[in-house]
Amino acid sequence: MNIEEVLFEVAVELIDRAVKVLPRDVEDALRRAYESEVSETGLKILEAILLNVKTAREEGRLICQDTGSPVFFVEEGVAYPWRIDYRKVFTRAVSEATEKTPLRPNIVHPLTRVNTGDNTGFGNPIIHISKATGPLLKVSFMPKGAGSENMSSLHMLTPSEGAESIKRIVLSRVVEAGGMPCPPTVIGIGIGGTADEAMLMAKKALLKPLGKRNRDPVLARLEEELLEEINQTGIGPMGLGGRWTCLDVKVEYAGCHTASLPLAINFQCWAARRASAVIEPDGSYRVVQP
Amino acid sequence: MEFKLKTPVKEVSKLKAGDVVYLTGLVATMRDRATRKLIELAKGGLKPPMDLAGIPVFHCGPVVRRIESTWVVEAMGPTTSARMEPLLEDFLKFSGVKLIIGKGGFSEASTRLFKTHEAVYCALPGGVSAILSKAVKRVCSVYWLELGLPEAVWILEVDRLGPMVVAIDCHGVNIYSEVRREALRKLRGCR
Repeated sequence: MNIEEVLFEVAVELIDRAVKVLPRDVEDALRRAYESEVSETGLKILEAILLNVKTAREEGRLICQDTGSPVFFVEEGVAYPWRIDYRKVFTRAVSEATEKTPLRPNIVHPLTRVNTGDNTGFGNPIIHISKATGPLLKVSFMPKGAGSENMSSLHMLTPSEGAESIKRIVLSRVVEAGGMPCPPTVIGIGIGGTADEAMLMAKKALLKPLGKRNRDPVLARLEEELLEEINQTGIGPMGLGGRWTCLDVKVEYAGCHTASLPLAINFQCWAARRASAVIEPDGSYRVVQP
Repeated sequence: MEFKLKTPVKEVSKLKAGDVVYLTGLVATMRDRATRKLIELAKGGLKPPMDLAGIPVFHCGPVVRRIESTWVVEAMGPTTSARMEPLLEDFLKFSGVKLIIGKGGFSEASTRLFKTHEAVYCALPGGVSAILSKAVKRVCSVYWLELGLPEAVWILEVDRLGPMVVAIDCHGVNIYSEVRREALRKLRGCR
């Protein structure tokens, strides 16, 4: 067994799956939105979205033509027995999937705008590696569309302003963003840490299943209140008015400097695509989502 | 109202904000770089190689695959139109296009441009590429491939492309700015 070959196959499968099969929790949330939407335009849009999700799944088509920036999250158990060159493996997998799935070649040099042709190069795919307890390897893939990513922001708040200013800023960002991030969105929020850590927490929050509240009761309440207030703005599906602006809000936090209060907001479109796999030391694996 | 439009689309005053449209005929995809190129050519007194008379322009970067000598659209859907907003005035002036298709819309300031140029903006749901790509009958031609596959201009024959919502009409109504104005009012009301 060559672990890097296994991981290559896993990565190609995760990419293909993520861009064609929307996770069940996201589809369920969209269906609940459709069942309770009040705007006629909103209903028409949600109906098209649900039909699209079904068509993509059943016919093996792409859910969205923007197959995103390729982002991988690796959680490597401290007792996982293999050393793996993740960059080498994931780069090859993205290149392969770009051809086979196919993915739209999205990645360009940031200044010359020259397209690399296969979604790799200049630091792509994006890879976040962290350590976990235990003997397993968990890999998640998130194709991140630009429409929603472009609405993301970082705010270094004044600590004394606290939770109220967090809510005020998130709400005003949602209204400014309007239809651009393809609502109903999922909103990932990172509170605390440092500027870089806050942004990463906001992105990682988007990996969490929809509908489940944070275990911390203070954050759970913040998530609920934000979701409620965002859905009172009336921005609605695709920004054309309606009840459903946001499917869920996910908050992560970390301790921060006594003089700081970082707030990071990462928007995710309704096509909240992700897929994960858990790989055993012997190379067997299971796709755990969707 | 629901409309079944056929290209060429030369007169759009009957379309009102909130109407639903399904489009049959030809569309030209165009996003950031092609829009800029078209304007630069026009400013230099040159015509673009494609004929846009009566052809709706679609803000879209499709996923295309070449199978032998023909191009096939694997996936397509609208991209964020706001990126083309700085070019909108020149675009409407030089292209003569009467129908723009995209997502996310344009700001309140652009509403008058649609009125002046008697054009409308239709919003497709973002990201529904599995159903939209099924509306493509064939790729008729492609221009400016050197801009990259998503940025090239693809002339596509479509059948019942939709549902799209008339989001900015030529009578001065912009649904996005109305929705946003109401949302801001509510936010201020909370405090």
